[in-house]
Amino acid sequence: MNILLRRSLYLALLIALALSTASSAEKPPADDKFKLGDLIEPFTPPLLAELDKTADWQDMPVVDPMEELRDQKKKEPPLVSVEEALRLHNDSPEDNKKIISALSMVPPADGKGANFDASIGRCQVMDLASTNPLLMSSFAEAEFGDLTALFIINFDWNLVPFADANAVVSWKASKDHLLDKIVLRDDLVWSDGKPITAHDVVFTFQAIMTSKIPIPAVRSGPDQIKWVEAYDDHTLVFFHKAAQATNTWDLNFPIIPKHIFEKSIPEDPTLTTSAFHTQQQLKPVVGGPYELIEWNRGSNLVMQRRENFYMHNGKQVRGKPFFKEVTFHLLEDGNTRLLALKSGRIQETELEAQQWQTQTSGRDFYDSNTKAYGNEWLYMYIGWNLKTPFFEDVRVRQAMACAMNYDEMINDLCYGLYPRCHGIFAPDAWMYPKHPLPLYEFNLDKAEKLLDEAGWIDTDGDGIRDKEVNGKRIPFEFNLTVSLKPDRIDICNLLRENLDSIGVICHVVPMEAAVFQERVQNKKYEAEMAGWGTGTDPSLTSNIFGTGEDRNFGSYSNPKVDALYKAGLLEFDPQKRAEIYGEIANLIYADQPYMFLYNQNRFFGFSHSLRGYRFSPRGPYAYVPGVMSLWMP
Amino acid sequence: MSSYIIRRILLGLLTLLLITFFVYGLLRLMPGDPLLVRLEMMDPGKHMLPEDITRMREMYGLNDPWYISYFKWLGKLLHGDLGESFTQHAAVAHVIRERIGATLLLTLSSLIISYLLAIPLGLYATARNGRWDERTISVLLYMLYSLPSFVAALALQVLFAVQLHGTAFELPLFGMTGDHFNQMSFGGKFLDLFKHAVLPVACFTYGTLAYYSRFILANMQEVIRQDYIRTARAKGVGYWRILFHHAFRNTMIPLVTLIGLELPALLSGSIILEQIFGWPGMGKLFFESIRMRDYPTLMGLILMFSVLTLVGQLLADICYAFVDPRVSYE
Repeated sequence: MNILLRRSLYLALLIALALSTASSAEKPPADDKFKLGDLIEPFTPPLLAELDKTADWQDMPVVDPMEELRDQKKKEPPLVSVEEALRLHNDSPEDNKKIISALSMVPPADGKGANFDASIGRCQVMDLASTNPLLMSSFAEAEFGDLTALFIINFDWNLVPFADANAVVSWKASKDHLLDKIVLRDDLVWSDGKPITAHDVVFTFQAIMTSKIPIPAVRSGPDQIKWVEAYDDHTLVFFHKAAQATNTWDLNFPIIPKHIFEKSIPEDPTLTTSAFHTQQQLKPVVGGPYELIEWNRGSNLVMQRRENFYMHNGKQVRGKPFFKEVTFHLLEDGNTRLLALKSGRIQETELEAQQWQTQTSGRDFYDSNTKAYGNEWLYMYIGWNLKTPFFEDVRVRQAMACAMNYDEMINDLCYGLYPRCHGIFAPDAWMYPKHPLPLYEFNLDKAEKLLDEAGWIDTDGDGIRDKEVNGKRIPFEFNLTVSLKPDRIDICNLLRENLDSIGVICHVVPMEAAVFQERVQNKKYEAEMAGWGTGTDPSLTSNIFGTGEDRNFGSYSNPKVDALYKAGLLEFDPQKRAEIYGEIANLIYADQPYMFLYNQNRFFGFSHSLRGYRFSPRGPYAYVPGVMSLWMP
Repeated sequence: MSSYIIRRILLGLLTLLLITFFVYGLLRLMPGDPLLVRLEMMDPGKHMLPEDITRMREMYGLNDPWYISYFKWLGKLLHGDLGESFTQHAAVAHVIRERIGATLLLTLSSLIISYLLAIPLGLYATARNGRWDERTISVLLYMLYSLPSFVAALALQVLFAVQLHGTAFELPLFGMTGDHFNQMSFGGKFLDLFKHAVLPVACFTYGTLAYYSRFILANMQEVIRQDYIRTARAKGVGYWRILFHHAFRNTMIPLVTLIGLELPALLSGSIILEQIFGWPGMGKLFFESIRMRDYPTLMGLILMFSVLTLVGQLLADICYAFVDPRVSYE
C-alpha cells in the first residue's frame, strides 16, 4: 500500500505542476490585447476629391476573363476538330498542340452548347487545412479558393494582372503609381445574400494586417500596402508604400465578409477554434461562384453553383458557372487517381511522368479519356551552399555544371519528357534574356580543368582531390541531400557517378521531406536537390537570389544582381523590365549558385466529356479563368 | 479484485504519464517543424514573411523547450482540452472524433469477420489435420498471408471498379460514401456504406484471417496432445465435443491476449489501405500528422493508443479470470 501511496503522490505532484504551467500559459499579458490591423502604420487618408484633383488617374484593364479567353480562341482556330482530337493519341508535341487547340474551346457568351446540369469530379492529393481564404497557403487551398473566393485583381494565362469585371466596374492608377482606385459593382452579394461592399475589402486588409491572426501566406503582398480606404460602399482607394511595378500584385488577395467576422475575430483570432468559426469552416459565407455544401475531412468536398453569384434581382448579371456541382475527392494514391479517371469517377487528374509514359497509352485509357501536357516554368536544380569551402569558388560550381550528363538525365531518367532548364526563367517567358548564355554541356575534361584552377588537386595520390582550407588540407567530399523521391535520387546518383571519375566524392543522402526542409532552411547542408515553381512576377525570385533574403538558402550574393532586382521593382516599362530580369538571369546562370537541371512539365488526363482546358506557365488551373473555363457539352 | 483493478489503474496512469512525456520529447526532438513543412507546400507566388514565421512559432509554442510545452499540453489535457491541430485548424478531439467512425467500420468489421471465419477454420483444420482438404486450406491461407495488401487492393480495384464497371457486381473504387450520401434514405446509406466497405474490409481481413486461423490451429495442436484430452477420448467423449468443450476452451487464453492487444489496433487503422481506398481513417491521419509534424494531433492519437493498450491489457487480464478458473486476483 505504501508503494500505491507513493505513486499517487507522484501523480498528484505532476498534475499540480501541469495545471500551474497551463494556467500561467493561458493568462495573457496585460499589453496583449487584440487590435485589428495592428501591423498597419497610422495613416489618415485624404478626401477623395483631393485625390481626384492630384492623382492624374490612368485607366487600367478591367477584364471579363471568359470573354478574354473567347477572344483569344478566335485568334487561335483549332488545328483539328474535336472528334479528331479525341481520336488522337498524344505521342508527340504536335499531337499535344492539336489536342489542346481543339479541346480548349469554350462555349459562346450565351452558354449555348454547354450542359449546365453537369457535375464534375476532380481530385486533390491533400486535404484542405482550412476553408477560410485568409488561411490559404497550399495548392489544395488555392484550388478551393479559385472556385469559392472573391478576388478583385486576378491574372490570366500569360500571368498578366487585371481587375476582374465580375467584381469591378472601373480601375484607375495614379500617374505616380502610389494609388489605385477601384469601383466595385453594386450587384455583388455574399452567399448569404448580404451585399459585398468596399467596407469588406477594407476589413479584409485590416484582418490580414493583424498580428494575432495566424495568416500563413496571404500577408505577403498586402503588407506592401500602406492603407485601403472605402470612400463609399463601392469606391476604394489603395495607398501603396512605394511606387513599384509589383503594386498591382499586392491587391491580389481574397476578400472575407465583414458582417461575419467583425465580431468573431476579436473573440477568436485563430479563425478556427471557436464554435462559430468551426461552423464557418464547414459552411463558409463566400463571394466566389461556388459555395461549399459538404466537407468530409480526409474524404471529399462538394461545392455547388451559387445562383446569387450570377443572378441579381431576377436578372443574369454574370456568366453562369458551367457546373452545377464540383466535387474534390481526396486521392493520395496515384494508381487510384488513374483508375478513378478510367472508370469515370473523376473527369480530370494530374498524371505522374511514369503513368504518362507507360499506363495511359492503351485503349483502356483512350476509349474514354485523352491526355495533354503543358510546359511549366517549374525548374529543378541542385543548389550549392556557398558558405561551405567546397562551393564558395565560382569555378567549382561551373565545374559541377560540366560534370552532369544532361542527355542521360533527360533521356534515360526523365523518360525524355522534360526540356533542359535554361536558368531561372524559361525560354518562353517574357523575362528570358534576349541573348542567353550558352548552356553548360557535359564535359569532364573542362570540369577537371576548372577544379585544378580552383586549387582542388589530388596532392596525395589517393584519387580524391583536396585543398588547403584554413591551414588544413581537406578532401573534396560532400553530401548531396535530397528528399525521398526516387526520380530525384536517381539524378543525384548520376551526378555522383560522374564526380567519382574526376576525384570528387559525393554522398547522396535521401531524407524525409520535413528533415530535408529543416536542413535546407537552416542552411545545414552542402548541396541539395529541389525545385522552384513560378510565382507571378519575376521580382519574386529576389527572395531566392537576393543577398540575405529568406529563401536564399545557399547564401548566394552578387551586388549587381541585388541592384538589378531593385531596379526591376522600380521600372514600369515592360521592355526595360524584361531586359533587367534577362540580365539577372544571365548573371545567375554565370555564377551557378544552382546547377540548373530541367523544367518539369505537368501531365494531365482528361475525360472525353471535358472541354475548356488550357495550360499556363503555372498549369491548367492556377490562373483566371483556369478551372472556371472547364465545361461539358 | 477491486483493489487489483485500482492498483492497475494507478499504475496505468503513471505509465501514461511516462509514455506521453517521452513521446512528446521524441516528437519535438525530431528534425523539422510544422512551419517548415508548410513552407514546402506553399504556392510559389506566396511566401511566409520571416516576421510571420517568428510570430507563428511563438503562437504555436514552438519556441518553448519541449518539457515546458509538454507540461502545458498536460495542463490543457487535465482541463479536457487536447489542443488544436496545427495543420487541420480544428480541435484535436474533433479531428480524431471525425475519423473514429470510419476506422471502426473498417477494423471492427474486419475483426468480427476474421474471428467468425478463423475460429471454425482453425477448428476444422485441427480436426482434419494432415488431410488433403486441410493442406489445401493451409496453402491457400499461407498464400493469402504472404500476399501484400496493396497488391490485392489494386487487383480488386481493377476487377470490381473498372472491369466490372456498369455491371451488378461493380463496387466503388474509393471513399467511404458515394456522392450525395447525406440525401440518401437510411437503407440507401446503409447499402452505400456497405458497398464502399467491401473492398477495403476484404483487404484488411484476409491477412489477419490467415494469421488467426493458423494461430488457433497451432494452439489447438498443442492442447490436443495433452493427457486430459487423451483421458476424455478414453472415456468415450465425442470428438467434436472434445474439440469444442475441452480443447478450444484452453486455447482461449492466448486468444484473449490477442484480442486485448487488438484493441488499440482497432483504432489505428491502416496507412496503406486507407491511402489506396481514399478511406478517411485514423492511419492516414497518423501518417499525415507525422509528416506535417502536427504535435497536438500526434499527442492526441498517442494518448488514445496508449490508453487503449493499457485498457486492453487490463481487460485481457480480467478476462483470464473468467476463461481460466485457475486465475484469481483475490
